[in-house]
Amino acid sequence: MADSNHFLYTVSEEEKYCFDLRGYLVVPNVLGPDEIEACNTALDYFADKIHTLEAGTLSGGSGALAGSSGRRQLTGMLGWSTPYREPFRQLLVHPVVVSRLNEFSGKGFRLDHGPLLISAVKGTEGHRLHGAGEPFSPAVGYHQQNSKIYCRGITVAWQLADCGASDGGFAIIPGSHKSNEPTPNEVRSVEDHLGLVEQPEMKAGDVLFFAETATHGTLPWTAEHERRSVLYKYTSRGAARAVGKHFTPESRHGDWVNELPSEQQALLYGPGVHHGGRLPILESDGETTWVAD
Amino acid sequence: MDAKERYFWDLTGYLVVKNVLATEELETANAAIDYCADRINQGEDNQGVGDSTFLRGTGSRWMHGTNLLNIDSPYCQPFRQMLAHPAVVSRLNLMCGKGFRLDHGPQFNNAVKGTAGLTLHGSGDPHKPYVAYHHQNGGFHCAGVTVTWNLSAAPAGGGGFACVPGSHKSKFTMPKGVRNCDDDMGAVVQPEIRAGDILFFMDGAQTHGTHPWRNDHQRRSVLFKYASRTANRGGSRPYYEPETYWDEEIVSGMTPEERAVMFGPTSAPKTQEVYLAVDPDGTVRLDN
Repeated sequence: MADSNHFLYTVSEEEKYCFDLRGYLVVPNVLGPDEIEACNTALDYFADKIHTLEAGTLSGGSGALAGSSGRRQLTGMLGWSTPYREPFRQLLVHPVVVSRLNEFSGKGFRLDHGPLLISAVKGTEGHRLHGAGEPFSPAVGYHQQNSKIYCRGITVAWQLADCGASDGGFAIIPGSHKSNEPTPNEVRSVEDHLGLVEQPEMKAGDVLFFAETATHGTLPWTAEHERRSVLYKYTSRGAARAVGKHFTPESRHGDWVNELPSEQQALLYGPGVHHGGRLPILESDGETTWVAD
Repeated sequence: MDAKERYFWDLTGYLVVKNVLATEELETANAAIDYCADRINQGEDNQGVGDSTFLRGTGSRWMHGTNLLNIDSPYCQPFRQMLAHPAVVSRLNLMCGKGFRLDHGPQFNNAVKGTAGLTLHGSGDPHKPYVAYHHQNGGFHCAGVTVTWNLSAAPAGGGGFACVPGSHKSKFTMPKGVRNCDDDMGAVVQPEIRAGDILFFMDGAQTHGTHPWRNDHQRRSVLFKYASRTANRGGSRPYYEPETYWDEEIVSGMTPEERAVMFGPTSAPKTQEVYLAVDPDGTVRLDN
């Protein structure tokens, strides 16, 4: 560990204040040089598996977010062969993470999906801002009650390279996890962001926590060096975004569900919203029920 | 769901929709229950009443280990028709949002004269995200709703489902006298429900339970436990072991602490293996 100070492993009142107010928190100097190197070495080993998205995929037509290439990404680290998976498994339940998520998401929090490497080279496009307090998203909703934070979706982003003040990379609208009005389109595209968008400066070894319901995205990467950020997507115990292996009615309940009409089967799917369009949606006028087209 | 229903639901946390099942449908459903009545279990006297005087009675009666959706045909048909009944879908699309799902159930609750009640449970505080109620910009976001199909009448004062209207928004700890109904402060109501009516209530967010059954006829209620698309109650427990939820290579060889965060979603894990703590020196350990 870079810092054996036990305050690194407890959540201060100032951190809780900051996370509740702004929807994100940066804890600096969590990883030492050896740990950063171990992660980067593993990523280098699997560099040929990095997938580059087509330019325009994430910038959504925004002139402010456009770039010459698409985002570079890689996943599967927890299942890599030894010793390459070990650095990422250590990050999974790092004490700095467990201590904060026990407070922010509640004990019993879980990894919903990830980790995901987000990489960028100079000129890589940004990612249109997404998420907001309105419309309310039950999957990642933010709630605070009786001095306790209940954040259903938190992403923990480990920084394996520096993000300087104007380098681009992660960007967020502080306080937007509590917004109750629709986000203007020009703010999401960052073409007229009203001075609300912030790009936190971070060093390699810092760890970023952000509420998934906060409005966030990515600014085009302008630095000469490669961006490397590894994102772990956590949720509170009873929440699901990814659908897991057992999503279909048959895989959850057995063959007998094939006897049911599609309207009834629709209600026996597993939880989660990342279903890739596989979920039938029911409609009803109060007299009949049908599966929507 | 008209404006009156929406107002009543938001204000009280429950809703009774009358006359959904016709006489013939009631007879069919009751005949199906009769068909598997030998699977009804009876618990010990006063089980589930805690230290309450008011709720005392003979053992509670229910059917468990039987999936009413998968009993012999044609007896399963009435319950399959209830599952996605238009009276349910039209309301849950608004209450929970489109894409709502059956989390667990259907569960059959039975009672005979003298059957004990059940301690009241659920509340707006402490907040429970997997069943919580939220309202924003004219829309409901209710993570957990139970739909109870009543196959026999529950007249006023006769016992059965009871709740504290408005408690899904409470921010203070429920007094003990309300929980055990010995001093309910007038906050608890037992809605009059007729056979063929369906009851919607915010399971977990709203304070609810059961009053002792005082009627000569049996209580017969079939409960379907729904959840919004991303919420989990107990129904996902069979699929939540890390080795079941993820591909094998992802979790193979993980430490108990790493494994703890790889369990799938469920509000009722029935294991301490999912809880982590951090010691002052930075050691992460299972919190059990």
